[in-house]
Amino acid sequence: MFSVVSTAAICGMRAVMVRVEVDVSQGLPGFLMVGYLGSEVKEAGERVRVALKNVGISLPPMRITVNLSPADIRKSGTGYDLPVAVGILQALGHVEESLAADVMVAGELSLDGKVKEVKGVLPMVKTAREQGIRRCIVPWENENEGALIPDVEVIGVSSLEEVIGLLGGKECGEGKCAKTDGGKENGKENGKTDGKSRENVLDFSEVNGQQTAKRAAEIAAAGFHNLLLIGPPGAGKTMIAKRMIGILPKLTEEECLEVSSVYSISGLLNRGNAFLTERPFLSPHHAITVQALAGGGAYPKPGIVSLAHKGILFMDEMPEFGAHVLDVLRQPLEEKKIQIARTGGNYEYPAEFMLVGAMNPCPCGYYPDLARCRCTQPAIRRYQSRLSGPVLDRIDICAEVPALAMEDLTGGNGKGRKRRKKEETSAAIRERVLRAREIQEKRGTGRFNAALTPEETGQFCRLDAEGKRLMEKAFRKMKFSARTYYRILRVARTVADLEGAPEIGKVHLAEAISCRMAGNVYWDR
Amino acid sequence: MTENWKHQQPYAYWLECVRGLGRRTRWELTERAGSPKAVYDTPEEEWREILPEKKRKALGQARAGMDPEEIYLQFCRHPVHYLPNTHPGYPARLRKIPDPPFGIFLWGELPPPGQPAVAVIGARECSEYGRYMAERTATELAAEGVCVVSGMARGIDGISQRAALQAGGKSFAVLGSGADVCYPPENKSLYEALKTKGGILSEYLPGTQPNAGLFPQRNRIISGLADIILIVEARERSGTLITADMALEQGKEVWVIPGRLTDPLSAGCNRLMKQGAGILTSVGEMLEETGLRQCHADGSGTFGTEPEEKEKAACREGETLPHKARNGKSAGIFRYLDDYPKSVERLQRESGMEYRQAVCELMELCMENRAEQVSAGQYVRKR
Repeated sequence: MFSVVSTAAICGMRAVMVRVEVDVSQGLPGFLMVGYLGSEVKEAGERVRVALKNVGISLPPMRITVNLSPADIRKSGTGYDLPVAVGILQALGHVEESLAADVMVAGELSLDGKVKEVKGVLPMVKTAREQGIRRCIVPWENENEGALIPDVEVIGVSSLEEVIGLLGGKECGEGKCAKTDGGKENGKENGKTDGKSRENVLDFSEVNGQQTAKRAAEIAAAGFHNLLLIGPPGAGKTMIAKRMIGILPKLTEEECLEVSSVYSISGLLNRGNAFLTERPFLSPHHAITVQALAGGGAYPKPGIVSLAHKGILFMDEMPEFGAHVLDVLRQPLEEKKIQIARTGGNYEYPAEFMLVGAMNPCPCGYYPDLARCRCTQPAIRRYQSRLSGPVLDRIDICAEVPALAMEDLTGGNGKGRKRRKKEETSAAIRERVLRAREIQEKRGTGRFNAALTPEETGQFCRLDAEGKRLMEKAFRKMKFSARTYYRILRVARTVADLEGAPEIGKVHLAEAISCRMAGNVYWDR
Repeated sequence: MTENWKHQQPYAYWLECVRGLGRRTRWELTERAGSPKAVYDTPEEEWREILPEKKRKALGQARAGMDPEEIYLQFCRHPVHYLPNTHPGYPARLRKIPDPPFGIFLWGELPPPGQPAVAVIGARECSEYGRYMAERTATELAAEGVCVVSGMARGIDGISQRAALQAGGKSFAVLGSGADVCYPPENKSLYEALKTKGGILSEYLPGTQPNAGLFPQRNRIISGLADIILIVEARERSGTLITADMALEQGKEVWVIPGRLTDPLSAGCNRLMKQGAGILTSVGEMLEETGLRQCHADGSGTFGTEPEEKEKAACREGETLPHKARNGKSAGIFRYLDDYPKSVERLQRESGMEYRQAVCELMELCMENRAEQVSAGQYVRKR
């Protein structure tokens, strides 16, 4: 009596098909599981035995051997309970072999036979589909995740009895199944329409004044440039950063799948929130550890940088993050992914995020207002140099968020004549951003302006005559390095794209130069 | 004593090396004994009346542990020179101040006795205005053949000394550390230049590390070496004002550069002005009034109005300034720039200009060196 059931193991971002082989034969009664198992998988045997007993199937006094193949991949997680149970049922003839053959099964069992949610269902179903499997049995909680993959039947189950029923075994507890089915239908609807709708996202019209910073946010969003906001406490740095999600274009279907995969592996999806439609916004506290940011653990999980994939990683009070924590960002910022090496193997997670940093200009926060700031130059330099050069090099745009004047808050000029100017809404800004992105896509590099190579920069970032003159002057006056030069050109390209200008003009370039990391105090590199 | 000052050198140096003796004690001992050598030769028991036990012990230990001739020979290999008060080269100006230094360690040369010297001092964290005024004043002083004495500190001190050297003048720094210790480190290049084009003075032994307690002390030497003290920028309560007090005690004239009432960095200057300090409107005038220069009646170098006059003159001659040639409005936003950093928002609000245009014009002004971007979104006027 031998049987095989398909399931999947998560390896980094991918899922790998795993065969659960069960053999029931004569011999000293016992239950043996092999195949490079983590301790939670070793425990699966006990859970399966008790769960089977509690749904009315007792195991015969025979020798049961379970092998998870390929045996050289480390198995971890609780998703093997259900496939092991199905394998045993099949070996014992409780379910029909033909029905169980082309099915991918995953799920955790509780002792009473309930099926509980597992992590990583989305990539599992995706791999199964690629391997030609058309039917997946997954926990009810994870059904909607799996349903994102087209062309494959994903069945959510909430108990072992249901599974037996599905696979042609004797139906037991039919009434219960019918009930949960009803629940499923509703759930499916919910899952599809979920995701915060645009209306709930914070809007830029709530930010008074701060035109420079808002404009910088717009340019950053349009070209996917990294942004650093500098300003005194309470000026609105965090406010602006939080609203940047609202001006980024929506996730495309493909991106949505990619981002949802990361969340699926991290176990952050559930039935009501089965996939992400909105770009993620991650704002880790500065006490975060290297592992939490990069991802890690003995069997790695995606870290914050991966959870921010395709979205915004906002680092408030950036100098407060430890130097070694900030240095973790170097690889992801460069390669848009992060590699983690552990004893269990090398893992790679996507990490293409927009870094938005916020910081005070000096320890007291008020520089360059000399009437309030009494920080010494060395103190300011020390404070600012907590951001390491390599990280700063990847930040294209630096914007100041100055303390607001009374007029900005009340709208009047003090005499009460002028009404407050209506601030622009996120929707209006987003429209410009979308147009700029369309132009970038048409270039066919597959990259946004921020990621253009020097070659592509030379090709696409052409200056017109006036622009060239200004660039020459600026280059001489400000002693740009080659890196700064390209950085400015890329930002200028985005500024021009926002206007739909084919060539970079003087105004565009001037604005790009003005939002470089500027001045004698900030890093003139 | 005039002839035997050379014999006194090792003993004076030895006296400097005695740990636990202050400057005043050194003075007192030499005055009583007659010379440093006499101090060395007197058994410490004889100082019972004037020295506490601890100091007598220190003296005894130093006598037993150090051979003056030997340590002085060792010291002579060092590029730093030692001028004790017995030395004929000891600056005459310092002999006149209360509480003069016992000796001066010197790297480079001393301020020439015949040449007028002005101490240009001010805040470490200075404003753009202070920077500009320090540069300009020091340059003009150098052109007049006046030495600039200062403390080589961050901000005004360093700026003025650098400007003086650049203009081909002489400058002298008095340090609060040993003469061979460069503090602050960012003024290293200035420090090196001062060694050849001026001098570095200190009353502390070479190798002495900078210490907050030593700085107010060295200020009296700065003012002592100068004929007049010019304060460029100072806050209401600041070290610069301490120097001003010391200068008044020494009978030196204090001059200040006027600033605005709203400006915290000019508050100290304004207060001194109220107390009767000289008000600098032109370097020439100041030198004449203080008798440091013979009358030149050309009246040049009056501050403040010059740029505008240049502009007017240019217009009269039918020339246009470069920024106007390209864009007539450039002067528009320039008008709203100040010596204090202003944000783009504020400049926009005041000038009523559109954001992009404002940024574009500001960038252009920056290229022309008429403005500077001090931080991401803040600009100051340059002159």
